[in-house]
Amino acid sequence: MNKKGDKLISVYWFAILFIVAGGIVYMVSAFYGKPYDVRGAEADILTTKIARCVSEAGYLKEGVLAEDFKNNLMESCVINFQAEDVYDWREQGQYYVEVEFLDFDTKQKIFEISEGNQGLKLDCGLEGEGFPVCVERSLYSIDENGNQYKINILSIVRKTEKNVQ
Amino acid sequence: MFNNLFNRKQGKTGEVGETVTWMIATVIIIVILLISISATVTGIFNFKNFNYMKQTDVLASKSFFSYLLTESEEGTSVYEQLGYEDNFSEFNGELAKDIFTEFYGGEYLAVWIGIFHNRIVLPYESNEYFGKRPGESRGIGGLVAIVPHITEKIILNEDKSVEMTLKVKEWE
Repeated sequence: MNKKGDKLISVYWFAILFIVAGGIVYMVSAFYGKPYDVRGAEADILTTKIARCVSEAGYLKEGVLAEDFKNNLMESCVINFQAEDVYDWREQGQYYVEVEFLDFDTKQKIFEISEGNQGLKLDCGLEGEGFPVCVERSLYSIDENGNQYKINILSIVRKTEKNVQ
Repeated sequence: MFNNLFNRKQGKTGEVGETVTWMIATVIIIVILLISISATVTGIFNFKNFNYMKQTDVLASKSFFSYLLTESEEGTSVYEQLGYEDNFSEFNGELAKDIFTEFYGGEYLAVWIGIFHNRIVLPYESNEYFGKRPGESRGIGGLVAIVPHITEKIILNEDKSVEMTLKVKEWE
């Protein structure tokens, strides 16, 4: 091949090299630029924490059915809903938790406790990444008198700005 | 003279062949690059969803302990009943179904509560409420994979235990 052809091939090689390198850089930035969505795991942890707080060794924890527990869920379960002070998160409230105690046989609601930003509940069930993550799970428990309960725990985590982009 | 002409013609054919090879190579490189970029951008390999595999389920375990402590009208707990009965009775079988199938049936591929005997042959006993214990593997031949389970086992006596098995969904 002549010298002109060699030069042309070198230019071609450099062009291909830059295209491939640019493609790899773009793919890496597109992949690692997106955050991990950990809200499902966070809501799961919150649900587990509530379950551990209301039931222990097969029985409802002492005092769970008392008024004091209903009024101080956060203190009783050692939970706080403080979020980072970004994107107005503190003002909006990024968490919501609702605990329902039902009679196991009749499925009638005995009482309900809720804490956090109640507005988040409206977005549960809506499809799409921009909505809060809702985890609803149930648990069976009995008290020392043998009364059976179904306990529904609904945990909601918003924090959309940091988990979805 | 004829040889000269022939050599020049062959040289040109060689150059054309080489150019075509380069063009095809370029097209292949661009196509592979475009496929990779679109797969990354559209999220076909969706690694960013934090899907972690559960190895324990606190709510199901708590329900299981409460279930075993539940007493019948005669005042005997499910734990005691399973200890001396051969298998589930109507009371503890229906109760188990009402709790575990209703609460966790949608979350897991399979939910099984049953008796495990301390023996080598057929240790798991099937029952009319949950059937046969779900298998721990799937696939056939050389493509057998172990399917993860969440298991909670409570010893009833020296011969048998009661077991709760939840077959995890994420791997399907």
